[in-house]
Amino acid sequence: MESLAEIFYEEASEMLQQMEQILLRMETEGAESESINELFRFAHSLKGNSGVMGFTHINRFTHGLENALDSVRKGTKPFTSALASVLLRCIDVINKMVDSTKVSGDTDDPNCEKLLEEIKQTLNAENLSPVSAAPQASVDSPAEKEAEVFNNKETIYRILFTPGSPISAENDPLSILQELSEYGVILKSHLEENIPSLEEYDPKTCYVRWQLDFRTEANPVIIRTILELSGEGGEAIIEPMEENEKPDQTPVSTCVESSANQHPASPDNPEGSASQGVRKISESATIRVATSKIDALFDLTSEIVIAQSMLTTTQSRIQDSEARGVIAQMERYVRDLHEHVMAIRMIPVGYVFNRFPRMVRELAMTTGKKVQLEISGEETELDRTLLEALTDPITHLLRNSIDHGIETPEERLKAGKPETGAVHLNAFQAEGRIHVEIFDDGKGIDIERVRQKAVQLGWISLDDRPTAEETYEFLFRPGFSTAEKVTDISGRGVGMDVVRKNVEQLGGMTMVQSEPGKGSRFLIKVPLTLAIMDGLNLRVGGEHFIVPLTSVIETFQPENVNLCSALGGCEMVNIRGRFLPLIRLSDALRMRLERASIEDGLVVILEQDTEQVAIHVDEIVGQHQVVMKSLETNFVRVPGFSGACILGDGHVALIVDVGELIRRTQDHALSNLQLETV
Amino acid sequence: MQSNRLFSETNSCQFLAFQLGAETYGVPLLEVQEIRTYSKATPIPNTPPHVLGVINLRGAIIAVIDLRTRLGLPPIEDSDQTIFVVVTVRGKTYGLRADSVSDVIDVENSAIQEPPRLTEERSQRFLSGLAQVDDRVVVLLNLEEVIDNETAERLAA
Repeated sequence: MESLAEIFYEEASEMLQQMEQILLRMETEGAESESINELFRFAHSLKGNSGVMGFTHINRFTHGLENALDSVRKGTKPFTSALASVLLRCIDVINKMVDSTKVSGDTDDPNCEKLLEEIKQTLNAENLSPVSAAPQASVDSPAEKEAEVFNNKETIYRILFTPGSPISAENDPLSILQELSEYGVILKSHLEENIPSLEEYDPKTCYVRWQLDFRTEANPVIIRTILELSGEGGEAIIEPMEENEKPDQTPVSTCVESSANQHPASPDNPEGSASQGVRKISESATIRVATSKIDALFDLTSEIVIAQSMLTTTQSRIQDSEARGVIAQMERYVRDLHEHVMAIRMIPVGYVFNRFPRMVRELAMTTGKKVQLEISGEETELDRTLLEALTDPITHLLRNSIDHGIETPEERLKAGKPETGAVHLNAFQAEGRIHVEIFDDGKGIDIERVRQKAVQLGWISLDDRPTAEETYEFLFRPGFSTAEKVTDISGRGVGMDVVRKNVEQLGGMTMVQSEPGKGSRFLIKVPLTLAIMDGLNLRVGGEHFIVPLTSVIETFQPENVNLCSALGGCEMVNIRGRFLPLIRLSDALRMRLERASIEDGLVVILEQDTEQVAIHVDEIVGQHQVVMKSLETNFVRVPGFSGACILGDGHVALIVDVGELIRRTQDHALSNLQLETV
Repeated sequence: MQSNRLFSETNSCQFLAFQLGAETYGVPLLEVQEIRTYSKATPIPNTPPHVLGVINLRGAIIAVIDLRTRLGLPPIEDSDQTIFVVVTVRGKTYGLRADSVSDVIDVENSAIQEPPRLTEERSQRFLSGLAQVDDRVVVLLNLEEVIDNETAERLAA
C-alpha cells in the first residue's frame, strides 16, 4: 500500500505540473482542443487516483474540475484567460490538499467550494454540477447529472461489450462499467455467459459479456474509448437504437452500483486506476524508476570502473594472452556501461525550467510589470542532482531580473522600449560545461548606486572608483541589497551571495554583465556532472589529495631564482614578477606530515574567484577522473574538504576545497613557524 | 537506550565478541554489518586521536574508530589479526578497529549485569553491561557512545 501512495504522489505532482504548463501555454497560444482534452484527462486521472487512495475531498474537487473542463471540451463553454487563472489556483489548492494528505490524511480545503463557485461564474453557467456531487452519487441521480454536463442530443445506444483478457486490475470490467456510467445511464444490462468447464477455466479470462442499453448525450467515441480502454481482444459494438426498440427508461444500474461500492475499497486491486493513470499520461516509452535505485546503480558502476582500473594495472603481470584479451574486452564494456549509466542521470533542464513561467507570470502580476519569459535550450541535459541544486539560484536570478531589472510599463514606454519586458532563460553546453544565462532588457545595473551602497557599507571609501566589473562583484557580497523597498520577492539582503555560494558548491561560477538602459545578463557555469570530476592527485608525505582540475592554473618546479623568504622563513614564490606566499599543503590543511625540501617538490598554483594561492606538494601523481563522495553520509562534514574519493588502488583520498583553502591561507596569514614547533 | 534494548523481552541476545588485548568485548550482533580485514585508513585532519580516518567500504566512505584509543587502552601495532568491525549506528556506518575477532556468543539476559563503577572518567559511558559467558567475562559496549559524537561539534566550532 505504501508504494501505491508513492505512485499516487509522484503522479499527482507530475500531472499537476503538466496541467499548469498546459494552462500557461493555452494562455499564450490559445485554447487548442488537444490541450483541453489533455487537461480533462489529467483531471479525470486525478479524480480516479484520489478515489482509489480514498482521498474523497480531492476526489470531489477534481470531479468538479473535470465537469467544468468537460463543458469546455465539448465547446459549450469558451476557454478564457479568467478561467485559466481560476484553474491555476485550483491546481495550487489540489497541490496543497495532496501535500496535506501526507501529514494529516484526507482533509477538506475551504477554498474548494469557493473555487468551484468561481469556475461556475467564470463559465457563466448555472447548469454546472453541484460541488458535492461525487462520481458515485451521480449514478444515483442520473437526471441531474445529464442536465449538468451534457448538452448533446440524448441518444440511447445498444452496446455489446466484451471485456479483454486477461483480466487484470487495469481492465476490471466492473470499473470500466462504472466509468461508463459517469457519462450516462445504463438503462438495461444483460449478461451473456459462456463459462467453460472447470478444467478449461482460466481465472484470468473473462467469460461473460454485457449487452447494455445506455442512454447518454456523450459522443459514441468517448464510449468506445472507455470500453476499449484496456481490452486486449476486448470489443465494444455500439449502435444507436431504433425508436421502436427503446426499452422503458428506468435506469438499471445495480451491477454498476455494486461495482462502485466495491471497487475503490477493494484492497486486492488498488493499483487499478492508478496504473490506468500511468498508461494515459506516459505516451513516450519511459518507465518510472526510484532515484535511489539509479543512485545505487551509479555507485555500483563507479565501483566497477575502479575495480576495472585496478585489474588493468595488473594486466602486465598476467602472462596468459587469452586472459589479457578478456580483460581488454571487459574494459571496453565497463567504459560503455559507465557512459550509459551516466546518461541515465542526465535529464533535460526543461524539467526544471518549465516551472518558471508560472512564477514569472505571478511575479509580473504582483509587481505590476509586464514580463514575457523566453525559455530556450530546454533540451540541454544536466546531472539530476546538479539540476535540482540549480533551481534555487535560477529562481533567485529570475526574481532579481523582474524585480530590479524590468521597469514598469510606463517607464518602459518612456524609455522607448516595448511595454512588455523580456526575460530570457537559456541553457547551453560550451567549454565542457553547462551554461545557464538569464538576461533581460531592463534598466541594467546602476553602477553609481551600487558604488554608493558599497561606500555606505564601508566596503570602499568615498573616493574609490572601482571598475564596472569590480562594482558588479559587490552584488555577490553578503549583506548587499540595493532594493529601495524591501519586497517579499527579492531584496532582503540575502540572495546574490547565496546564489554565488550555491553555484560554487556545485563547482561552478557566476558572472554578470550589464549595460545601463539595455539590460543585464547573469551567467552560471556548472560542470556537466557533480559526481565525476577531473582531479589532480597530489602527494604530500604518504598521503594523497585531490584538487579539482578546474582550479589548477599551473604547476612548475621551483628554482632558487623564483623562491625567496621573509620574516625568517615565510616562503614566497615569484610568478612572473608577482609574489605569492608559498604554502605547504600539509600546513594549509593543518596536518603534520613529512616535509620534503622545497626544491624537491612542486608548486601548484590554484585559483578560485580570481584569488590565487601557491601550494607546495611533494609530487604530482597524476590526473584522474574521480567519483566525488560525501564525507557526511557516514561521518561529518570536514572543513577544508569538499568530499572524498576512491583511488584506483581502493584507497581513499580527500578532495580539497580550494575556496576554503584560499580563505584559510588569507585569514590568518598562516604561520609556518608556529606549526613547525608543534 | 542501548541497555534497554539489551534487556528486551526475548531471553537471550547475540553478540559479536572481539579482543582488545586480554579483554573480550561484545557488540550486539544486530548492529554489526560485517567484519573486514584491516586496511590503512586515510587520516582526516583536525579529528580526535581515536578517529583513525576514513576507508572505502565497497564505495562508501566510512570513518574508522580505534577502539583501543577510544577506551583508553595502550596502542599496538597493526597485525594480520587486526580487523574492522563494521557497525551501523543511527543510520551511519562506522568501522571499529579491534585486535582480533573471536566469535558470536549467545548471552542470556539474566547473565547480563550492569557494569560496576570502574572509573570517574567519561569512558564509563562506553559500557552497557557485563556478561559472564562460560569461563570468560564479556564487556558489552554502548555503541551510541563509542562511535564518535564529538568530532562534528568540534569541527563545527
